[in-house]
Amino acid sequence: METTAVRGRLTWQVATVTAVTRETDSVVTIELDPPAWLGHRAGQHLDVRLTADDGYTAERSYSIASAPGEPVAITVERLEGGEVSSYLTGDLRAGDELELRGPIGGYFVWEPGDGGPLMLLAGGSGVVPLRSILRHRRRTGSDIPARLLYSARTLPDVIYRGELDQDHDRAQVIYTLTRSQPPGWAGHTGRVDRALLAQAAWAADANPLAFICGPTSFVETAAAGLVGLGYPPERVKTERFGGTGGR
Amino acid sequence: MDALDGNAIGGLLIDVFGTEMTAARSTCATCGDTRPVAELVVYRRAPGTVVRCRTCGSVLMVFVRRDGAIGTDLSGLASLDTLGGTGSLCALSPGQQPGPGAGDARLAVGPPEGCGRPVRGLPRLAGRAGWQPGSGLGPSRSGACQPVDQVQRRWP
Repeated sequence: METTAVRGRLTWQVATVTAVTRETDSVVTIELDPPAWLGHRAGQHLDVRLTADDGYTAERSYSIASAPGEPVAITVERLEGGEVSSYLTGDLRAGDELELRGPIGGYFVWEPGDGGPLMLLAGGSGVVPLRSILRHRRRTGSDIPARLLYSARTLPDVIYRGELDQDHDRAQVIYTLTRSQPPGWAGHTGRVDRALLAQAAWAADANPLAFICGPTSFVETAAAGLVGLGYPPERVKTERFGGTGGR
Repeated sequence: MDALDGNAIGGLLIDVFGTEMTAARSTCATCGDTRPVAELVVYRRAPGTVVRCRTCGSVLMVFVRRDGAIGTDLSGLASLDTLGGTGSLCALSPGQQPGPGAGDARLAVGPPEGCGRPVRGLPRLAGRAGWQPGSGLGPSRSGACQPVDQVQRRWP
């Protein structure tokens, strides 16, 4: 199989899985070593292709979880009955090979020069590309203020919780739990709506730059809410995924 | 079947155009709405992908994979411009080839008589009748769509 990537063309290559880390009951982070990786930008994704014995193939896109300059990693949530996500979260082990191509995307990406303050909104595993942005911000020493509003079903469903809480002094993280809350929970509850956005988002006159990633309905609500608060539509970047990922 | 957005077809668009296109600026030939490809409404159901205008719902692009080739219909677009520029109807003259560099690829897909005119009311090209919702390439209204992710399969 051809594995040499030519600049300007995107070719499939076989990467080696170097580590699989469990994030939550249904989510793993897969670290990869692709032989020809030209580097990625914060917020980009890659395509994974599985091929069965009979030649049947299935392709899926996964956001890159690591910052530019770090080893390539994706974070995958197991979807109910998902033929690809079940394999990636249940069967894949370090040392296995995985066919992929990337990096992909030039719209949902952030560079420190793009300005801010950064308003990041995550629904469930939509936090993955936003984590790449937060890591990139930290690694580049950017002093652009950043705030993450993260909607998850329950506290144990929060991905990267330790990392996000550790980074709390540099990036403000606000959780809202939609399904159930631990005893004594003082944070927000319920889905992201206009009222929560009005409370949690940067004021529009600060000229914030927003990135929203999550299930389609979450993104529609959040984007409309920010625009309703006065955010210019061109400063609200969106990425929707079709799965039924929890939020 | 949930609608995705243009981010989801970044790889497919590289297959077709040879360059990153999610940040390219698209202009709808029906309503004139201009926005990045990443913000368009996308329905994927192998082997077809349908891309619709977020404002008026018109079909802008259709891609169908078959035998290793990708059939492409861009007739719903007035223009597609990787410079993110003017959204003009005729970034290129009809018959002119896009420039050689990946960074300056432009496509003019409107009919030549559309140059410089308002995009509203451009004639629709033939071959569109089959791409209707429910045909398997758009949002199913009969609920017949079976996402491939629901099929159980063993990988070697």
